[in-house]
Amino acid sequence: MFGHIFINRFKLLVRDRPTVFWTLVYPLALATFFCLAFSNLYGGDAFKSIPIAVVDNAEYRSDTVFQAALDSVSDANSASENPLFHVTVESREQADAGLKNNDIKGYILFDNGARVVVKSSDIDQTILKEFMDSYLQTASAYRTIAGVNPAALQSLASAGTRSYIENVTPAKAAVSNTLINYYALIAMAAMFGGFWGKKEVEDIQADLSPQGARMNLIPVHKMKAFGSSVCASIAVQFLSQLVLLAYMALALGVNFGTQLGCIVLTGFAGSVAGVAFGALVAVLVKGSANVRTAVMLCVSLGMSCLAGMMNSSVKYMVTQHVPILAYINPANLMTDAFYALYYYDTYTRFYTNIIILFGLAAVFFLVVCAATRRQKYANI
Amino acid sequence: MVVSVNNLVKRYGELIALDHFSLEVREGEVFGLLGPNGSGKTTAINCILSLLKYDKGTIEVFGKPMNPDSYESKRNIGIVMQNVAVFRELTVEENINYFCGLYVSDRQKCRQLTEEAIAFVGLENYTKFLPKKLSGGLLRRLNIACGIAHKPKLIILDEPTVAVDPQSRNNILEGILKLNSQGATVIYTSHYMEEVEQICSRIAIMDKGKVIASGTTNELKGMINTGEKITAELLRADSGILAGLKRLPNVSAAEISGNQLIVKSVHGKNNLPAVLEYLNTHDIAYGRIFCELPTLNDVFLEITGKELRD
Repeated sequence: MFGHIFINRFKLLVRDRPTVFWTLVYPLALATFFCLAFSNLYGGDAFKSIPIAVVDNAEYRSDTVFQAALDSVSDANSASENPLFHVTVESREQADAGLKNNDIKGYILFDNGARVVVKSSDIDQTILKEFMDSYLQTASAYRTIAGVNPAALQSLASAGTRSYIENVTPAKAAVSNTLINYYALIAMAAMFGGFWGKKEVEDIQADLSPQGARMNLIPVHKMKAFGSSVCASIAVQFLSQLVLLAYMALALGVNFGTQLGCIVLTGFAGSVAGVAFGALVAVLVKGSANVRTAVMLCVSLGMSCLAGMMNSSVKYMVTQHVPILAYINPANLMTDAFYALYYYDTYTRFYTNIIILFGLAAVFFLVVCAATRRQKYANI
Repeated sequence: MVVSVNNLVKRYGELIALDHFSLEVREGEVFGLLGPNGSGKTTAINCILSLLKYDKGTIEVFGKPMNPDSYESKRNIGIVMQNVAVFRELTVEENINYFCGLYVSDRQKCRQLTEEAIAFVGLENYTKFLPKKLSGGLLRRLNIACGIAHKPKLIILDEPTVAVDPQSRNNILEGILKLNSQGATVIYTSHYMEEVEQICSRIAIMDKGKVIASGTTNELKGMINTGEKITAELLRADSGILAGLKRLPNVSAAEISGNQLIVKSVHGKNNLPAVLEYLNTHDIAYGRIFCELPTLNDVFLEITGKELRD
């Protein structure tokens, strides 16, 4: 009997287009949208070297210290990953022409001392000016010290290169705020599995649908039939989660770490919790099917937002100020499980999240069973 | 007795939906439960099926008390709900197979019963159709097939012909008689007296949660004083003729409504020749004259003072 109900329910669920849209197509579309939005966001912020020129004359050629300082921040220095300047050395006429044509943002002219020539005032010109001011100030300080106490120059040089900061690795991976958004999106998709859970309850309760009335008349214990149906729902939801995870990891390049088993386990726990949550909504919310759908959708989205789907700082704020909410929010637990898996070397936080997630699902199902096991109704 | 209901009381707050409702359905009969909308037919069926809680009374099906765990009894019951209870995502064949498989565990047998049910309701050309592609009548037939595919001994049909075209209605009624001839006991609820009269061997008439009369069609008609009703369309209505007509033997009432003369006879008497002779003798011209036997509506009207469809 389990096989008969499971297979037919599975067939029935995967053909339910509106629910497949919410549980699979919509999260896939949203993930793609996230990917496009985030790539534009960070692509736009990438720093580009500022094109400048230095006028080639005898004074410039004689100032080797300046040449060394400029090399250290220009793309002439191959060691620098993000050089400040792209420098060309040219005649004054060429530099003026370049400035006029906007080929360069400004140029440095040595004419009884170094000065900056710019055409307009913007962030690039400000950076160039700041660099020159900083160089001239430091050079002046060194010249003064050399004149007064040449021996102090040695210790000054070593102080300038000493690092007071120790590098500590807090996590095994680089921090990325966008990952929280993706993780919360997966959690949202898992919570949308509630649509299946809601459908299971509606299709077994005689007071919620004619199909439910018919199911109450079959010669099979109601909880056995319900259990078989719920298993089919969890299977369909779990498959949706796997497709979403695969799409994000392989097509969008979202990093989940390397522990495949734990990633799949998180997807499964989320699927179980999502289906259980939907079933709970179906038994607790009185009213029409549309009311139940609206409540389920709103609560799922609310939980996902609190888990950091729209803004990762929300998740931190909730964890900091209302920690209990973080622990009873299945979407947050799922997001945090992915987060813990990706960032931490230990599994304590990950398994804590997974255990609470399964615990919540168990509580949800217990409430659902208590409410649906009755087989006689006051009203149909 | 296949079904035995005794003194059933069901209340919805202040409203008494079933008021000491009693019923006995014998094996092999087509039992009709006739009553207007809201008379308690569906409530009675839901109580018999142990879907609804009730306040008082006893229900036995196949000689055993009926409760939600009566799986053995449930195995032999087929139900056709008033609302179509099929899954919109499954095809015609899959729906029937799914519901049949909940009663019959042998896959081969289930497949065979599914095919038989499809043939029985005449949906052979629609097996791969989804329910949304079916017309109202075909959908009703699918609903019936889902309820009877497992060949139950007791079939309960709750208003299966609501919103169905006449052709499909006839198919459904013929099908019910066929099921009955194959050995199934049938309980059929309807507010269409013609249907009940056509297929039911015994009928219980319900009103306000009570059985107000029960028996065969003839027994029910025999309970009332109203007999044959003669209607004549007069070319010139004259109320002066009524007094003479009322004096005719076996006439219980005579009246003129518009241009129609209506003469009612006492129960069991045939008065048409006497009325015709009277009209001819008195040179009363008429265009058309016809005679009707009492209907179940007349039974209902006489007992409750209102029409079945009020």
